[in-house]
Amino acid sequence: MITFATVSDLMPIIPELILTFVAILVLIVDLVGTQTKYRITAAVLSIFGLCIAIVAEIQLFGENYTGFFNTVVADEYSILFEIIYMITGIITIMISWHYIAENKMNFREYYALILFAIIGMMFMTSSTDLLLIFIGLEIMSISSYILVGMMRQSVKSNEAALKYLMLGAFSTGFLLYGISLLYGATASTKLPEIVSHLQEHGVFNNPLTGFGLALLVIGVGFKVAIVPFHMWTPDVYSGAPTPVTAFMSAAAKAAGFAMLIRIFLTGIPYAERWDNLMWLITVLTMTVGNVMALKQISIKRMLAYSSIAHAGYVMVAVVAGSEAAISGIIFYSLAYALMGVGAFGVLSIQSKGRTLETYDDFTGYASQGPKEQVMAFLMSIFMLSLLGLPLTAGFVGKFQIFYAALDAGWVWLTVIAAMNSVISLFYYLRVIVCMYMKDPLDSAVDGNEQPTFSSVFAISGLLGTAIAVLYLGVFPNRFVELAQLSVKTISF
Amino acid sequence: MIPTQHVLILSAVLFTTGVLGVMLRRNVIVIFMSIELMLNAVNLSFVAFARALDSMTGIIFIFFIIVVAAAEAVVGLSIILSIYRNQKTLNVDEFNWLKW
Repeated sequence: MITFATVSDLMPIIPELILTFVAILVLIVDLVGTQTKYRITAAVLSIFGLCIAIVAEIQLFGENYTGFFNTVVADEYSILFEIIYMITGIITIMISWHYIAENKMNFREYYALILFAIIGMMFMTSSTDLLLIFIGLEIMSISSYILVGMMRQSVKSNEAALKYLMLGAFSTGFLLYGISLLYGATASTKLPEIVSHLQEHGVFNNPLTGFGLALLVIGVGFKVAIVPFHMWTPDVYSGAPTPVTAFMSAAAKAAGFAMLIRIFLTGIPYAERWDNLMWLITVLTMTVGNVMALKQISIKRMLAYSSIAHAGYVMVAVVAGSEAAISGIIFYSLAYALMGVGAFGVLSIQSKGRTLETYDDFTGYASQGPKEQVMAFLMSIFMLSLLGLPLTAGFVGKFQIFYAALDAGWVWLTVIAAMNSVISLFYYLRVIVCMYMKDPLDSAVDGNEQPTFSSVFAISGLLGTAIAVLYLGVFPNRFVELAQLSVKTISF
Repeated sequence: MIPTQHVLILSAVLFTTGVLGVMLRRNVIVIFMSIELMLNAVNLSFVAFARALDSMTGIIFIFFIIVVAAAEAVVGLSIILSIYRNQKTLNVDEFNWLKW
């Protein structure tokens, strides 16, 4: 007897329903009212909706609702990740309003697409069925393709969107082929059933399962940009509108890792050679990201490569694979979401009518006026946190991951990761040196500009982000405990 | 009845053709067609498995893949259209604004 969905099935997806409703409302609401350059209704409404959804998530915390034949679960693990996406969404919208108004793309679809992307991420995280994970992934990806290409008159934005779409769809092909082979071998797309089948029969005894898992790694690897599959990241991140880059580097990457943990770290038995392969990929990801970041002249592109390096640090925890490591990944995702959005957010705010992108643009930045002083200070906090200096969120995240890796016996991997952190010292500090210790170049325009309301709105968002980064660095205990608690809920 | 292995081999061949097409071709539209070929190869393997296992999950999966492929085609073609308006070319080698 087939039972159809009932009202109780809707309980775990209440936040998703709220966001869907708000996103549709955002599409409608801007039709009424004046069409000015700085119209803000859609932005405020989206932030409001995200706040309500966060409250709903907090209400669901600890209740462990499941629905739709156990394919959607609202366990602590997914709730924590979903809150990370929504916080990132709120900050992104705060920094976006200024940027998209200045760049003539203040369409209401922009906000709706950000909300849809978040909904996709939420389904990716909270589902235990590969079918629903795939659909969530595609909702997220297709929304991001459009967001990346939103600056229609810009050649770079066009090209970034095209590259992202081509490689994204390409990787989806691999992901699907992997799912299809796994389905063929285990007769199910539900993760718990797949895992129990693999535990019974082993991974490498059947060529279908080994090959299927390898294809899944390729598909997921493209999404989180680990090294052999990272080629799109620098191009897409530097071509996309800056707030969109911030959003993708923080939320989309966290969603990718949430999916990766859900699929690969919840009980699939691996053989020795698998570990060695992942070890190599991790080392390559960290090293390539950091070394390529060294030689960039554009800060936006440098941050893109550094996000590859940060994916490498998270991969250290994936290789370790223990409970402590997974809770480290959750903390690191939140920390990186905050500092990544912050760093890209600073780049998205124009100074005296100029867009800031290269080191030259930032030369002597701190001495150019009161607004620039605040921005330079915020940028320094984000850079130090990305670097992993104590008292910042980045330090606590790195510490947890490295500690978990040492604990699981990966000494050399931890040593290489620490050495990579030292390499990153050079390019992060270079930004601070440029801003504070050099005189402005002649090309820097003098004169005062009145800070507009939109830029104050964006800067206050960044200020909140910086405070959160410092708060998580000084008082991390509460969130660390939450993360450790939530890991207990995902092991099948 | 065609044996499952034969269908799977065909789907693997189609998938590989799609991958090679993405890597070797230079025209954006042809690359896009190759990606669609990859997705359809996956559909074929799902059909084969669903029949061999006598389960409906694979069939359901195919419906969603078709829907997603259609959505991706819509977005993809509009991005291709907007890049053609700006650049007047569809050769990927000439899209080189973003490098290093």
